[in-house]
Amino acid sequence: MRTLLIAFFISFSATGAVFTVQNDQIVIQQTDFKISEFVADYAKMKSMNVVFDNDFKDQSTTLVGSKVMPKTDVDLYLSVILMENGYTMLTVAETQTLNIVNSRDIRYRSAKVYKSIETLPDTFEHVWFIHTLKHIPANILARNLRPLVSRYGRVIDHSDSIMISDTAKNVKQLMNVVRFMDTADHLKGWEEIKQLNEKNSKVTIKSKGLLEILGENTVIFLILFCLIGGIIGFGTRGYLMKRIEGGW
Amino acid sequence: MKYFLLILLAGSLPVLASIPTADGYVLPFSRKNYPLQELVKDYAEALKINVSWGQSFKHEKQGMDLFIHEKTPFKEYSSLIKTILDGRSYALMQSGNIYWISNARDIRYMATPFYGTDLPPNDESYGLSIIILKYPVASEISRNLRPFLSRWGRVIDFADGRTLALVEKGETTTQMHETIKFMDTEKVFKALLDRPARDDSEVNDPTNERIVELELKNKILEKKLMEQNGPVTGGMIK
Repeated sequence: MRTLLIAFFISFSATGAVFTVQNDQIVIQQTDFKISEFVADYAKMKSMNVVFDNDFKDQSTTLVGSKVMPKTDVDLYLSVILMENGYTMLTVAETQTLNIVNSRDIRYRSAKVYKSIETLPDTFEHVWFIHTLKHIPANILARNLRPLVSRYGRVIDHSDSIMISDTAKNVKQLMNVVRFMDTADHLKGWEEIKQLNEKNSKVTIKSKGLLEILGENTVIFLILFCLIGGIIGFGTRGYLMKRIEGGW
Repeated sequence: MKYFLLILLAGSLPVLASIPTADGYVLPFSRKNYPLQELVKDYAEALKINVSWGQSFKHEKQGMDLFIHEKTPFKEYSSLIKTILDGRSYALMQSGNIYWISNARDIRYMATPFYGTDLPPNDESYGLSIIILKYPVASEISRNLRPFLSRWGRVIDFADGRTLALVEKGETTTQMHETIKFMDTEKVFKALLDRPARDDSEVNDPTNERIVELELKNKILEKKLMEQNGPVTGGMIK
């Protein structure tokens, strides 16, 4: 009986792994666990080394529900818990290393570069993505995409290409928008708006009244005043002289 | 000893979902002072999904009273959970089979489901949808729609003048679609063409710029003085 009791207590007190792998599925053993513990188990499963940034603060996360997920979902799940706590992961394939970095520092780090949407991972890890445009000017598109990038994401235009630095999921979303924008119709619409704006600006310039122009330019006003005054003066003088001399 | 063992064994038994369910339905139940974490936990267990959350949701203390009087399909119950969470400034996010609870204010930094030109589901979940207009009035419509969006919703007008991107809750997007129909007309477009350019000469007046400059200098001086002598009580520094 005593042995049974001891075994029972040991099973409760043992901290053990956060998850175990069973037939292409991972079974999460704990409801509350530390991020670092999950990362350690993940790295062990993938036979990778892990490096945490020096300002990494370990926080606990909670998982409820079935607690069983396909092995293929573990990358996505890890990226979600990291993102929710302000971190992201960078994988260095050459050294088989997983870097856990602060999301705000991602701009100082180099992420993996992708050129095709199909090869992008389906996670929230940060990536670089380069896309060549067919129709719309890159600077116009980049300006329109900026409100849609994430907090530490960036969009840069270069010649006929755009470069996006953001989470892979967000890059996919941005590319969905690009698909709508990089069309001949969109370009036609943009040119139409440009022409309308140019035409409107000309109308605005023309509609400026003479008095407004004179009010802004005092010298022109003075010269014009003298000229008109002179003409009226000479006219009046000529008229009066004719009247006095009795020409009319 | 026997009783002690029994208590231990009972404690180690798997906890059953505390909301009654049958054949894809949530059966009527009521809970008073239902903690939010427990509500989500029960929901996840009933639907056999995984839901994750971080520190801020973990420390959410205020409970709620919930009364389900009718047999409710899981889909409707999910909408209900989303509405409850939205009321507390949280959002239930989903990506594939992974669900997590995020702060609603962080939605703007996240990839939400993309619906293209289709209407999103009419609930509290966020999504990105594209609206193609008949007339090039996107800029005007986006400006007029902003006051009617939800707190974290966004509308972006694109350079072609005919495309709008709406990052919003499904129900608000549906509502906006209807509103836009009234705004995307030839009459509005023509009115825009006739509208005179805005006179901003007063705003760009050099005197105003000088005033702003002086106010800034005043603020810097005030800060320096506060650092030296502690907070200033009353009066302006000249």
